[in-house]
This record gives sequence, structure tokens and C-alpha cells, in this order.
Amino acid sequence: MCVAALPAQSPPGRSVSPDSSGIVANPHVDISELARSNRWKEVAALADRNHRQKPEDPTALYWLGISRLKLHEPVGSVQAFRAAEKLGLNTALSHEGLGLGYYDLNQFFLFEEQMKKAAALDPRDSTPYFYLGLYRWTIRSDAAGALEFFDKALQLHPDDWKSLYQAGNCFEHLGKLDEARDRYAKAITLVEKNRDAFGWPYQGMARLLLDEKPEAALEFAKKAVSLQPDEYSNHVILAKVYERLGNLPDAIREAESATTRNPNDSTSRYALYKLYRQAGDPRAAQALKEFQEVKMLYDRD
Amino acid sequence: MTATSHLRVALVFCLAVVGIPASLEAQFGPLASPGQAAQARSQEELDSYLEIVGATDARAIVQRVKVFVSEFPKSELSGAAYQYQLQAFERLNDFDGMLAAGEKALAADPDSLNTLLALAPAVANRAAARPDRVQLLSQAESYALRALDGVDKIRVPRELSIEKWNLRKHEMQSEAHGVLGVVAFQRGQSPQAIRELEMAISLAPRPKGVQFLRLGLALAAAGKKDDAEQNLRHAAALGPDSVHNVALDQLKKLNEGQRTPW
Repeated sequence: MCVAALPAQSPPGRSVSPDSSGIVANPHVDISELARSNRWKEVAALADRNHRQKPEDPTALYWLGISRLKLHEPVGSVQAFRAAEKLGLNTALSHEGLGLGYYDLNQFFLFEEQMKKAAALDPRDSTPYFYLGLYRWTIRSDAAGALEFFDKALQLHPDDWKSLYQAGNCFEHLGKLDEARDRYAKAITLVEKNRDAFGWPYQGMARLLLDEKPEAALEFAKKAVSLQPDEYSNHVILAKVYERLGNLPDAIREAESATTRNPNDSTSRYALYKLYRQAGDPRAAQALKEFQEVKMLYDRD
Repeated sequence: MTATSHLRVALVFCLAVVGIPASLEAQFGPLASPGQAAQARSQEELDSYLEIVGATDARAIVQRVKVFVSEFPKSELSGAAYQYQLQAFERLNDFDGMLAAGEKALAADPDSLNTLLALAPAVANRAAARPDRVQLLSQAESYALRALDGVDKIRVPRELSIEKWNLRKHEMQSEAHGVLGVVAFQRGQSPQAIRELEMAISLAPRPKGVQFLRLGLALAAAGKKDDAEQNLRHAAALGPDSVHNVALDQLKKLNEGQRTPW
């Protein structure tokens, strides 16, 4: 999972509206309606106009911060949120937005500070804990620490399938496979109920079943690919399942899909090299060379 | 002025039109290890740093960095701040300011390729006119060699494709070899200068007129008139205007030299 993934991994059912009505300056345009439609450039333009008309209104700055965050302009986002904060805006959502802006700027100390403020201001909100857990896991590689945050998020929002999946992933990393399987299964039930295109718990389950029940793993791995076909790691797992089942042609096809989708990942490059070698494919030599190049460039200690 | 010293002055000019090698993306671009990124310890510290990042006027940047380091003397972001100041001093043509900011940036981040590749050509460029020329040439050489060493060791952010990285890597290597060529030329080591400048051209994804101009001048100094003429013509054709004019001027001098040997 890459750094930029965190803001994209919003827990299910989130609204970005601040604690106000969301109707700013211009009474004819509902800015929160534009936000719900993900029309972020329009939100930014309107928020900017509203801010110029009413410089003392922190809500306009809040929307400016959110829209710039969504438009991948974290410097502008942080500056807008900070200006809103100086005008007195002090809500869970504004601290959360500012925290995500800091995260995008690799400012993790300030990110944690903001998420803790957000959690304190709205003790029923699971979102800050989810983000704190994701940070602990993806940036600090601290599975045990992350698990504490995901558990806290799940206490507040037991049906949050993204926190369930992440908790399962942490358990898997810690070698607690029964707990991992339980969290993945619960996440899958919720994903199916809500028909969300979230393939990660299926991928996790496929990984757990790979050695003992490869036929069952195949169904989960295929489901993960069908839900998120552009996620390279789904293809890596499907390739491994096919390999385990002795189906080298399909394994090679999936490993090739993985390397096409993420050419900079050494794991899928290595899997492809091994598969070519097993199949006696002459492309093995080139695949090995490419694996070594990627490993040296991106995984150097 | 001797022919060689005349060429040296021209070569210095060549460097002056090259400009800064890379845009600074200090701290906030894609990072290979985000967990190791320099951290602001307070919101005010980051606010102050963002004022530097957002400034466009060179004098304002210089001033804001001064304010930043005085208010947050222990900031982990100071190295990146000095990189911005270095670039601002370069725009202001303030060589002493550049050197000072560059040294402070390197003290905070000794392996910064941005800093090394900004300092190396700037120092090589200005050395000729300075009393501490010998020392400055050694410094420029050291920066360029450190940059070449660093390019081979860097861990690349995954966001950057191998193709884009190779392009960028070759640009940086080309820049460093160009500096080594200029340093050798200034020391009167023409064969080495020619080798380095040829290497700079061969590595550049799209060689620039100024690189052919440098090589043409080095070849002329080595008495290789035909090769020099060819490279100067190439430089004149590629431009920009400043390079075009110097190249034509040097071609004229080269041909005059036929009648009146140096």
C-alpha cells in the first residue's frame, strides 16, 4: 500500500460536511451538494469566491481545505485549514481534514496530533482511529500498535469493513491466523451486504487458504480480482493460487498482469521469473534481470 | 588575454546560461522512505516553512528562510529550507550567499543531490574570477563526484518509473560530468576536459547547445580545430540566442586563428 493510499481509504459512509449547514455565502449554491457529487474543482472555485466575499467565515476556508485535499494540493489544503483554525473553526472534521493534509506532506507528527484532536472532539467517530491505525501500519510497520487503533475504531463502528480488513491484516502479520480469518470473514460478509467494490479481505482470505485449501483460495482470489482488477497485488495472489494448483499458464498470465499494473514491485517480478523458469520459458532470463533491477532501485536498504 | 584564458571566460559564460539543474522538491515530493521524512514539531513551524515553499520572489525566500531558521533553529526542515535559499541566491546571482546556504543545506543533508548539483556548476562557473579559484575548483569537483556517487546509491521512490528515473539519472550524471569537464578545462587539463564533456553530451537525454559549446571550446583549446568547429556549429544551431551568439563569436575567432596562430 502506498503512502497516498491513506486519504483514499476513507472508511465507509463518511460525509465531509462540517458541522455547519454547508451553505456558504452564496445562498443559491449548496457547496456540500457539489462535494457530494465529487465536483472538487467547482467546490474549490466556489469556496475561494466565498472566502473573498466573507474573509471572516471559517466555513469557506474549510471547504477550500477539503477541496484542495481532494485535488491533491496538500500545501494549499493545509494553509486553508490553518487559516480556518485561526478564525476559530474547531470541529472534528476540520482537524481530520487538516490531519490528512499533513499526512500528504509527510508530516506525521502533526497528522497524529490532529487525529487525536478530532477523536477528542467527537468521541463517537471511528474515523480518526482508522486513520491512525493505517498510519501505524503502512508507515511505521507497527502491526501491534495499528491493531489497537483498528480495535478502537471497531468498538465505535463494528460494521466498518475497512477497519475489519485492516485488523485482519495486522493479525495475519502477527501470526494470529485464526483471528485474521475471523476479521476477513466478517469484512467479506459486510462487503457483500453493502455491495462495495472492496477486494482486500478476499485477497487476505485467499492468502490464508493458499497452502491448505488452494481450491477455496482460488474463489477468493478470483473475487478479489473481479472487485478490484486494477490492484496488482490481487493478481499476484491469484497467480500464486494457480501455481499451487499446478496451472502454470494461468499463473503466468496473472503474474504478467501484476507486473503490467505495477512494474516497480519486485515481489510480482520475482513471481513472474519463478513461473517462467518452472515453465521452461526462455523469458525467465529477462524477467530475472528486470526483477534484479527493480529490487536494486526500489528496495535498497 | 591569451587564447586559452579567453576560452575560459567563454566557458564560464556557458555555465552561466545552463541554469539550475533540477526544480527543488525538497521534502514534499514522493519519498522512498516517508517514515524518515523530516518532521515539523509544531504547526507554527510548518506554517513558517510553507511560507518559504509558497514564495516566488527570490528576496522574499531568502528573508523567510532567515526568519525560519532563527525561529526554529533545531528544525528538521532546515536543510530543505536552505535548499530553497540556495536556489533563491542563485536567482539573485549572489554567489557568496549561495555558497553559505549550500554549505548549510549540506550540513543538514550531506547526500542531497539537489544541493550538490546546484552548487557544483555554480562554483565551477564562478571560480575563474575569484582569488580562491584553486580551492573553489576543488570544491566543485568534490560536489560533482559526490553527486555521481550518490546517483548510483539512491533509493528511488516507487512513484517514479524506471524509465523516468533513468532519464533523470542520466540528466544528473550529464550535469556532474559537465562540471568535471569545466573544472578540468579551468585547470588546463584539456584531454580530461574533452572526455568529461563528451561524456556529459552522451548521457544527456537531449543534449543542449551549451554542452556542444563547452566541448567546442575545449577542443579548440586542445588545437583540434575541425572537431571544435563542428561542435561550435552544432551549438549555434541548437541555441538559445545567448549560446548561438557565443558559438558564432568563437567560430570567428577560431577562423581568425588560422591566419594568426594562438
